Amino acid sequence: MSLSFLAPIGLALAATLPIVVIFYLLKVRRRDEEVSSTFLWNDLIRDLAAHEPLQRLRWNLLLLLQLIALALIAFAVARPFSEQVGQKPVQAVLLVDGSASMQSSDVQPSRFAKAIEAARSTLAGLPENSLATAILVAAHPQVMVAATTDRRQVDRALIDAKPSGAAADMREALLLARSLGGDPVSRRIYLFTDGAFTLPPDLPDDLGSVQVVPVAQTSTGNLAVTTISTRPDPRDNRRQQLFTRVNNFSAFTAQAVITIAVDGQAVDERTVDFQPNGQTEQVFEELPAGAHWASVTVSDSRGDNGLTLDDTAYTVLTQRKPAQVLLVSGGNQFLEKVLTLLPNVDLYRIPAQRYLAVEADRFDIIVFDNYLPPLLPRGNLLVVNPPDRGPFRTTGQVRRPRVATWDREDPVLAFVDVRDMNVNVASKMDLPRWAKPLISTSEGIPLMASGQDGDRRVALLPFDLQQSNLPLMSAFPILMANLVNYLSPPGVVQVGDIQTGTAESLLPLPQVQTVRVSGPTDQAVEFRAGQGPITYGATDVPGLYRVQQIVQGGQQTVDDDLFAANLANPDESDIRPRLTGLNNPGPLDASLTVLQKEFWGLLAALVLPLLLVEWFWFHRRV
Amino acid sequence: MAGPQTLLDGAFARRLERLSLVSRKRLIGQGQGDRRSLRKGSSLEFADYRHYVEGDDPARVDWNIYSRTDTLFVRLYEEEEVLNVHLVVDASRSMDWGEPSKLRYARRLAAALGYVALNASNRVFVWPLGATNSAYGPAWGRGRAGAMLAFVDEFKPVQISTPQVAGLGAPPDLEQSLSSFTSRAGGLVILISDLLSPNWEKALGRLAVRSGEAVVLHTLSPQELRPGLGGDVRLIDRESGAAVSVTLNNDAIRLYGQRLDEWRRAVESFSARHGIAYVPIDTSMGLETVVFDVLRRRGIVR
Repeated sequence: MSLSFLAPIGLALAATLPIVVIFYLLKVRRRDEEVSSTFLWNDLIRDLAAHEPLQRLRWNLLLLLQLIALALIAFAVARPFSEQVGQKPVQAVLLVDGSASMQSSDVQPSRFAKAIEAARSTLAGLPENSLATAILVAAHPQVMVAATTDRRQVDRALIDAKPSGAAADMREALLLARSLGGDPVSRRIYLFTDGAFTLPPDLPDDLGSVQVVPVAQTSTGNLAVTTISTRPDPRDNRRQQLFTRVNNFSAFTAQAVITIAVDGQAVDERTVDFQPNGQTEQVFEELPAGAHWASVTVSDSRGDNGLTLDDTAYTVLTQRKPAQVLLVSGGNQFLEKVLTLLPNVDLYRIPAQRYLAVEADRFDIIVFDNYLPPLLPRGNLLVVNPPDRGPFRTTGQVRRPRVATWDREDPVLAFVDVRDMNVNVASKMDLPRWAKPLISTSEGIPLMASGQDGDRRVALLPFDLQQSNLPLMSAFPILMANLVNYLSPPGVVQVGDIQTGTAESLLPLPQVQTVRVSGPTDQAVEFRAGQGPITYGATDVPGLYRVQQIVQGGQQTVDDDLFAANLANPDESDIRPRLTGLNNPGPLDASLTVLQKEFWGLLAALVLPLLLVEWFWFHRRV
Repeated sequence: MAGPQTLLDGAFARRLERLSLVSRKRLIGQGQGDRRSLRKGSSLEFADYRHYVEGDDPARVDWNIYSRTDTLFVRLYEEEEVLNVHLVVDASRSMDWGEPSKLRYARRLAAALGYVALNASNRVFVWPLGATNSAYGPAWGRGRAGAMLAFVDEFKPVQISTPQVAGLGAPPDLEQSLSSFTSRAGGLVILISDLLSPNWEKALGRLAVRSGEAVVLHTLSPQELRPGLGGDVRLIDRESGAAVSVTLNNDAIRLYGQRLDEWRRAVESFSARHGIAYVPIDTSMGLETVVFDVLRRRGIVR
């Protein structure tokens, strides 16, 4: 074993050793104290003088300790190392599958625990000085520790890792491992997985050495609710129907009980026989009206069910509240008729002269027909033929304008054909900046516009409906239905049912200050509502998530909404190992190499007790 | 009498009037007083004979003996004589130090003892060592108390500053100062000093060889007895200007304490061997406590 230095320049620090000695040779700056006589002190000088002028250097433990400490530091800074023969270090990337199927209990205590155990064992067996990276493969791969030689840090990260309840993105994880693994020659990717996934088809072929460490039993099965959805009953749209699909991911027959529950109360129960690798589709009709959510649970009475995470699926029963619409008009039969016929609309009518007597702010949509109040209400607006005042300025009128273009892509004009629309007289609107023309003449005069004015949505029709053929067209009820949809306030939850691991977008009401989301584990997270939607991504656990919109400093909840997260992934619920083609350990380079073993840490560790002894000694003397 | 009043207040002075100095030997003095003297003189009480020496009064030659022995003898008579009290106050610069100042303390102590002596019809001398004023006395009778107190209060130390260079301009030390103190007669010598001199033995030796009785009131300040110093310091000798560099840590203070105790024991032992009464005094003690308690218990006053 030979001793060398990685940074021999560090030894130059030893040049400071004489400086320490000089400090001891220098005379200490002393405070003058007048005493009656030095007669009694003279005899004691020999014993007391710790520091004397340059000519004499006395034996001093402090000096010795300081010289030793400084010499150790200089030695450590030079990074001494000894050369030893050992295995070549590698750059190991430990990929631990954290997908939902890893929570299967076919191996005890779970596949995930087994994977962690195997990863720690692999980590311990890596050659000296190897770099290790640990990645948890989940819906989005999480780098727990990146490229470190500190094995304890990697080990702690592995112990702390938790599986998710979502499908894993194995392709992204493997690409990440390839990027973080560094040099392909020394890179070793270890994948600790149950192999219960289909290999992504578009994997690059330069992954290098990939060693798959399987942790699952080959003969295991699972029953799973893979689909759940609801729709309004065609005969009574206040009632809902529920459709579900349950799969038997097993090579054997099985029998199971499928239970449907509404708001937590079981309402139906069916016993179903499954063929090997078979499935059943069930429809539950006439769910109780007014229910908020439903769930389907499969419980096996006979068969193999290795994963419980997908035994229950939830769905939120959409209960869209009817839009509260206020029609302010001197009398418009067309508007009244069409709004009355539209579903999900509660219509209120008042003449313009009584507008100021009603509390307009409590309506979701206000339709102003040939009228505009001096102060606009807070709700969304449909403004028909507005007078020339307020925010909607006109620059004159146009007679018999011809429709030239309309925006077919805009949801407001979906399935609406206005090519035959004729208008007698239309106002030339000076459109605000937030408004987008939807229907225009060849001169660019807008005949319809919409836009978001701050928190409010506004749609504009700059002509009198009764002075056009629009109300007589088949497009009119479709246009009005689209407009009501556009102007109806959306709920806070954008998608009622999502897959675990995907993000939910939340759109709080304008007056809301805080949004609180409580997951199935009852852990609540609060968000400050501000500008724009909130993205909530902690949906790894299947179940119901409650969204509360809170105002007045947390005192009042203005809206309480739900969304459901389900695994709903047959590929993930099929927990049978089927991974092939990825295992490519490559030629293991078992050759030996000369390793540099540094031990500056030991030297640094010696300095600390030395300094402590010096401190103790110094304070003992004073 | 503003000065004397600061040395002794009225109540203290009245208490002092009830005290007197104690002489354990029969002392030789001059003048008549209320003490029995060892001096063979011319009073009516015959004491002894001695050979005639030149200068003796021929009238005191015992002619009867001469007629029988052809040898001249003079008759000696026991006399009732006045006690000479020499208050020797060390006014060196080392005494002018401490809190309270040792010199100030020594002035008050000398004033008290001088007042006691005058009241007891003793003959009082005051000898300030290392002062511009040479001596005061003899004085006897309580009528001289005012003048005595004024002298004690006002004598000026010769050295008023510490020399910048060690040894340069330093005054004679205690032993040299004491050599200038000529006891023209015997009596009670009370030395009030800190004895902070390498020649303290020689100094005390000078007192010991005298006839009469000697008392040393060894006066040290609390700062000398229990130094509160610490850290790296350069100790400057107030008298000589000599500097001593030391690091005063717990060990150093402990060693100093040991050295101080040994020295005080050595002084006490030397005094005992030479018949000198030794009284250690801590200036943090009240003066009344020293006079009425310490000195009384030591038999210096009664």
